[in-house]
Amino acid sequence: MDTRGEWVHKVVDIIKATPEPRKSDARPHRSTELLEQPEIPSRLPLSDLHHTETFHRRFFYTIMSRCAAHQSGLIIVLSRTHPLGDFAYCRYAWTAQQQQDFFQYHKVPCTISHLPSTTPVIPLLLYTRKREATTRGPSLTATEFMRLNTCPQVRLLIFDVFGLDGSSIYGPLLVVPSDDIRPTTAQVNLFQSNSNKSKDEEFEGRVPLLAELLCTGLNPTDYIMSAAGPLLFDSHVDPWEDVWKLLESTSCLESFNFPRDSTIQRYPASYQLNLQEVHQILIDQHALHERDVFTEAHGNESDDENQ
Amino acid sequence: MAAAHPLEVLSAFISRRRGTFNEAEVFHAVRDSGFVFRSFEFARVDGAVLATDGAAPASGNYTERFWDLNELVRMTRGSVEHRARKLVLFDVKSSTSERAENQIYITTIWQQEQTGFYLATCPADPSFVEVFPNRFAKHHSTALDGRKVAVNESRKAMVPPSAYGFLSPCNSSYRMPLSLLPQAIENIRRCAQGHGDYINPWTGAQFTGWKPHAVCDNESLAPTEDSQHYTSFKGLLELWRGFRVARSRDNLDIELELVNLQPQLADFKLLLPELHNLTHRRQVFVQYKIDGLYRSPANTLTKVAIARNHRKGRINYYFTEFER
Repeated sequence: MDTRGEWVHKVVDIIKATPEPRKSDARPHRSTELLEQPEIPSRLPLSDLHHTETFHRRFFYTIMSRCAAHQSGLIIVLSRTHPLGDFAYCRYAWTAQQQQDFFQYHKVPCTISHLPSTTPVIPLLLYTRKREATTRGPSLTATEFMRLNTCPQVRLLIFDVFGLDGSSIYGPLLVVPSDDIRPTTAQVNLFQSNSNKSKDEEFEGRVPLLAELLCTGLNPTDYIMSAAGPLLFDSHVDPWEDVWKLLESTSCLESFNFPRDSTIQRYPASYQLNLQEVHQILIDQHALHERDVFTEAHGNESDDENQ
Repeated sequence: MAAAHPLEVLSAFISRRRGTFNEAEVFHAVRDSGFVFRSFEFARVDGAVLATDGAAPASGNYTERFWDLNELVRMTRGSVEHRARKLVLFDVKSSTSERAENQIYITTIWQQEQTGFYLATCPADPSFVEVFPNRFAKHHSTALDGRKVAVNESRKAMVPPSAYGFLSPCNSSYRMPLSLLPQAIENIRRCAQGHGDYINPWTGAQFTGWKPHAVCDNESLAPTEDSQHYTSFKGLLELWRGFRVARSRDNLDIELELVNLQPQLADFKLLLPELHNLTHRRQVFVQYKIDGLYRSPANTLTKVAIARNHRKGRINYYFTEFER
């Protein structure tokens, strides 16, 4: 404490210097509320669409807009459980009116019911996951593999690389012709045993990644298309343009190399099939289902009749 | 008792009756084929295709064909000719949705046992029709089973309905333009006679191993005896005979014909020559109600029922705008 009394003298001076310490106005108003409202956490805008549906829709409308811009090509929608694929690509010449209608109203110029049965089409199978894939590629689930394996027709498999993270950007796609996939007997057995399991049984082994299924000696990343690198997040003028170019060349007659840098020749005729065959495959699948229902129903009945 | 929603009555009215327009369109498209027969209202199925070997095509409109077949069945019952007759029954279905997962057509087990094939239309695009073969027909019909089953399988698509033109891609293999339906019916007829498989004329898909189920009598084309419509059907048969006799014996230019927009417009119509128009005839739509009271011939008909008791305490009046 101050031994010489300096502090006390200073206090006495301040008191003498302010004869009226109390102000004559009213007390200033002091708010008793908090300065900031506590943040109410707002809900994340979740889409009510499943991730797979989102990817299918983006693919369909983006490639169709490329077709409309070039006035060439068409994607038709196949049945959801069709063994051949989800979509099919065919050659089509757009008129200026159809182009305008598509860009203005998203009006599709032609569907599968309007095309004659001799139209050659290329089936496309789309694969997407919520999880992003690695450089060794995504894996096929047992159900997806069994669907691929039902039909010997060669088709184009389109893999989404980025998964849920890429739902708002035009990420790169892996385009793999299905004849590059040759699973070994062990892998086929694994897929079959996995698909036959009920939900309570454990899976036996890890399902192979795409790199383990390829037989061409290439990496999955060699099949990549529309890889823009750091420019991915810029706004795209022509998204997935090279995918459209690939589909166009597959619907032609001349052979071409795919992947571009490899020496593997592709013959487009092997990827094309008539719409009649597309319909036939679906009808045969439905007949198989009906036959299963029929034998199940009649199996029960013949038991009753025998008794 | 008020409806839960004021427009509920109207919406049920519209959606239940949309199918009758589609049915009329389908029968209109195949009217030139002489082998197609249309059934009476409230019968088990909507129509039949005559597939007897060597049969001649029937002439006249659907009403005449129905009556002629009815008379033929009545006269030849039990004979060799009766047992050799092949009638492939079919039913017309429709769906009012534009979404793929809702374009599933419903039938009952009772109907499925006898039907040969189904025709289905969607108001989303009525210029197309789908032909579904029925593989579940049985030769020995069980008791009346009204459980509902689906005719086709159609699943939800990943893309919105405008991308697939509002017609389900799962049904696309069975689909054809309406103008090709007569050719498809002809294909089915030949398939029923054993001359090869049925091939869809538009998509080219072949239905190997399917032969349509055929019956030999026409009881599925008329209301069954235990239904409430049987009495009116029998009454109409008598009326038809009366008009036919008057036409042929007394040269009266009047004809009884069934209404083509079944079953909502009227019970039957009478056709009379138009006074000033030679190409068209005048149509008089007639509502036919059977009254169960015994009356003497001299009765002046001052007490005639104009309504019927409905369930839930309501009264159903005849001859209103909504009810026939």
